[in-house]
Amino acid sequence: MSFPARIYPEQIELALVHSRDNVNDKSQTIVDLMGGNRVKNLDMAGMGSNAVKDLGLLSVVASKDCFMLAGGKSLHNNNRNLAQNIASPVGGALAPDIGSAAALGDVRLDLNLLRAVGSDIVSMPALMTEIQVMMSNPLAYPPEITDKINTLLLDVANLNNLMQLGVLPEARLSIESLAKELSLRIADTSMALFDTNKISKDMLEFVTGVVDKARTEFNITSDDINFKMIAMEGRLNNENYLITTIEDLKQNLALALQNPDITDLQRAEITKTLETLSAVIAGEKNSLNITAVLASLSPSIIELLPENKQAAFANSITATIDAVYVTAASQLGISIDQMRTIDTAMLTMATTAQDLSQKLELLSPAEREILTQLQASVTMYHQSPLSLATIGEISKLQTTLADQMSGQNSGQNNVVNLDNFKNISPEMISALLQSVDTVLPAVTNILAEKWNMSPQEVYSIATTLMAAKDAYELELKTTTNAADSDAIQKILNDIAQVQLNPFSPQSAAIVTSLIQSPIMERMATAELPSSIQNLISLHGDAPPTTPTAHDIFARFESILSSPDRIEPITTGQPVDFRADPTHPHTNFVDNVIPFGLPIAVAVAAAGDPTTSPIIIPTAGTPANDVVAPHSAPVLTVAPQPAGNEIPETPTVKDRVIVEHKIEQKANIAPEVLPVAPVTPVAPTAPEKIDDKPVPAEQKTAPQENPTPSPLPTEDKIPSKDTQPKPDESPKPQAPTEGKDAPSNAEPKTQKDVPDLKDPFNEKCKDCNKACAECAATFNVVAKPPKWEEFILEYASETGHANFERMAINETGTPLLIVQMIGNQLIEQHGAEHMKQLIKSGDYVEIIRSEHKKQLEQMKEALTPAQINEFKESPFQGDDEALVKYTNTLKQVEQITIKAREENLIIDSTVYKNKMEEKLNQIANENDKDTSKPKDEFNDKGGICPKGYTGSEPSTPNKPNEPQEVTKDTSKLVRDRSSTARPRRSLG
Amino acid sequence: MRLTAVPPSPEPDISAIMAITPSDTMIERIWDKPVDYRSQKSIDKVLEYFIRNGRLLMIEAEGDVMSVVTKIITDMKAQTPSYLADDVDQMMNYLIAWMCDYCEETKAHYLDISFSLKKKMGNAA
Repeated sequence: MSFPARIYPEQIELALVHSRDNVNDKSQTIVDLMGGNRVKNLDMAGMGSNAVKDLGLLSVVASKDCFMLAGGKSLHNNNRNLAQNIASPVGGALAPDIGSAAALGDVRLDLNLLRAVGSDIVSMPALMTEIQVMMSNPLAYPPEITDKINTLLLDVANLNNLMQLGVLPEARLSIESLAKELSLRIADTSMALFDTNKISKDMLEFVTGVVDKARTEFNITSDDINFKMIAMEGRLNNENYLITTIEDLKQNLALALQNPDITDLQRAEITKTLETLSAVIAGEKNSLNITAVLASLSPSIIELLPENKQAAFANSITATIDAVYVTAASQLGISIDQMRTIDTAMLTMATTAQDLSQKLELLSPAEREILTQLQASVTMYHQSPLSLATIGEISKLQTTLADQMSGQNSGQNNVVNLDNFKNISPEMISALLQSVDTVLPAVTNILAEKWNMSPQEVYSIATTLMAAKDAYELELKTTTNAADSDAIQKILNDIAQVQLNPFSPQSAAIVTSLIQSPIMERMATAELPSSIQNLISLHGDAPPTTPTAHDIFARFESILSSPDRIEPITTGQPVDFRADPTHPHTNFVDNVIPFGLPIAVAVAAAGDPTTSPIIIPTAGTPANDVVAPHSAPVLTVAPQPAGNEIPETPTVKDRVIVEHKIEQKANIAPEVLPVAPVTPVAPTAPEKIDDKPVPAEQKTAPQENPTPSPLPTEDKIPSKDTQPKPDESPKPQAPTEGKDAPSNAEPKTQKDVPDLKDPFNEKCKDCNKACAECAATFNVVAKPPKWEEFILEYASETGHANFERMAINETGTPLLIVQMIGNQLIEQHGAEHMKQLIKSGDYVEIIRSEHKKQLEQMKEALTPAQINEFKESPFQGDDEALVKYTNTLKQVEQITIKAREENLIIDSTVYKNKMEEKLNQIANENDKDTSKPKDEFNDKGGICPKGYTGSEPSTPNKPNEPQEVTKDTSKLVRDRSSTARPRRSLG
Repeated sequence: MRLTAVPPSPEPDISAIMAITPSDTMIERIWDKPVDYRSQKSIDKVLEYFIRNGRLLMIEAEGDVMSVVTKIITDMKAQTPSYLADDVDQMMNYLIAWMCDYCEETKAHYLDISFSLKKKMGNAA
């Protein structure tokens, strides 16, 4: 039996007696609760229950030494707190009646905390305060959250009890199993609560300690529990979490690379992943890039590792993704769960964009438009996840999706017009819409809370800024006057600055100038989407209206100019305002520098508001020497660590400190500043794929100095002065074939093509003639500077990391061909010349014409034997398509072989798949068009004097390889989503 | 501290613990269960210390249950040597279990409690 005690509703007496007093025989416990009387062991000392009840417990234990606990409910305290609650308007309105058990409900977090913590409660005052805040704020902690916390505390208490229990050897296995189960459950619950900011770091630290102790106590060696421990400890020490997990993942990937059975595609994927990981560690890329590259990793890579390492590899991937979210959430000042939700939805967009870009030539105009906007949204998200620019781009994507669908607003479900979407499945559209509906309100809500604005205001401002940007970009394309062009570029730059840092000192002036702009009158504002309307209704705001763009900017201007506006918190550290939910800064944290806003913008923002160019500090270059016109911020980049030193993840606070230092110093040592790639706004904003190229004369401002400018130094980004003059290099005209067939576009005349060394007209050293084989060989031999190096260099200078993808979109040329031609141009004319071509837009026509010429050259290189083979093939009705197809394959194979040697590592199967689809499409179209005349090429047959016969014509149907690639991609999306929550993916 | 080093309690109610779920964890109150071996040993040791050294103990606390518990533990530790810290902790954990069960049963949020040493009659206090 227990100790002698008397327990009544209002009173308790307990005597902790010595064991020698044999309490098991003589103890007496009277329990009289809720009107029921339970008396146990009434025979103690022959006294009987009535004597004990009447005389009290002391009469029983009078002859014993004991500790006596006596007391009961404190009515005085309960009444006092009741009165306080009524007297305090805030407490009375929000806090429950603390004295009333009914008001607090049956869940007693305080008691369960005591059970979980035990006597250690004296050293954990923070946990006591946290629990008291939870209990006094039921609005912030709804029942489902309270239940979770309660479950967590009880589990911890039970785990502690297990560790205290004397265990017989035969029961040990069962106890260990139970301990493991409890530990996993505790880890899951605690991380879920921490990820949603429902428990503090102190609580997580305590729970982690208990689980770790249990792991040691019961010698639990499970991978699951180890992985969860890493995740829990990573949340406690997120500065090193990402670095540690990345290093672990890199080791696993390096191990996979050593497998002799690795395919080229796998090697390429791993290499790309390793490069991304290294770039993130070096501070050259945003950590969110990791999730994107891991999502594109083929699941088959895991099979490259030994079986005993595969689970660890899977865990390291999951841990890395988790670390990315933990780190990014910490930097952004949002919850990990919010970060995970947003990024998972954005990954859907990214993978869809990647999938579509592989079938570029097959896309319908509607699909191309969606692809363009998808890429713009993903790019902007990676540059600055929480910004008005991201909201604007995703809102634009939503509009684009809606525009391309028929039956819009017909009920709840939109109906996909199948004519518009031949390559995008309805499921894909549905997933995209769902992603947009997830990201848009999430980001809007976060920014609204941070900036103490209503969601409607944030959304309206974001979309109106985007509309203004679009309007000015359109005007820029039609402007021929250089002065007007410069003015528009400056406005675009200003808009980008407001989009990324709306509370900069000069934002109010920029918005004022926008209001006075004549373009405002022509802008229409879109209606709020349903997701935002739902968000607004959740906040209890007034029903949304549709103000004009002018009204929205006027409101924005008043917010920016208002002296009562809450100033941003400058600490950058996540602040726990739960203790005071009425504080105006509650949830209003860390908006000094939105994530992704580089120091460069801070520098510009701190300087003269009229200074439009943004300074880009780069290594080895004085910050004020480098000027990138029309730039917008791209990434937040950490300082590069020296040597093998593991860099600490820069916190927002660090960035604020750096910003403050920058503001104080006019001349900044380059090494102090992180490299901040900057994206030019107007030129690099992903243009519509189907946009007709604007004539270069209109794009390029007239130059005062007609003589060619010297090539810019490596340290500098070429300014406008270094751009080629329109009269120096005649630009090709825009293609007129239409947006469906950009690859067929060609210059009107051969003279329009700039005088470049034609790689396909190069003579073979052996045969002194041009042939496809030689051309291919020639191209891949060209080495420095490689296209890849150029892309990296260009991205680091301009922040335009997606140039290659844009080049493919704009030219309609396959990736390999773009790389090949780019390689050739750089090899012959240098990287700086290539940059000028990009700036002037001439590269589009050059790549197109080179692609066209290349196909023509290949036709001539065909042998009669090949032609005969084609005629006997199932595709004999379309010789031209077969010739192109086969020759392209041949060249791709040759290039691939060389590329592998050059470490370019491009697998031809993807390209084969794409070409095969195109071939089928062409074959289908030709089946319909029987009147099409036969190609006369069959009668010509160019023969290479080298005796080149080419490889065997590839079998058109190779179902396995292409399908495998597609299948893997779809798998990845699922795998990625399943690993987004590491705690759930294990077991 | 390994569990195997501790003599097993007379009835290590493993089956009850194995069936633990959050909802039914606390159905059986502490006054319905025998005191566990560790707690009893700790109480004995602390009690013996106070008696042997002629110490007095009288702690009074009022407030919410966490504050009351904190005050009792703090004062108790202040009056015991460090070598008894583990035993005090063990004893306090047992006391906490009593107080939690009592508060949960009676829905009491605020307590007015005294915790004292009672010596048997005839001994000089």
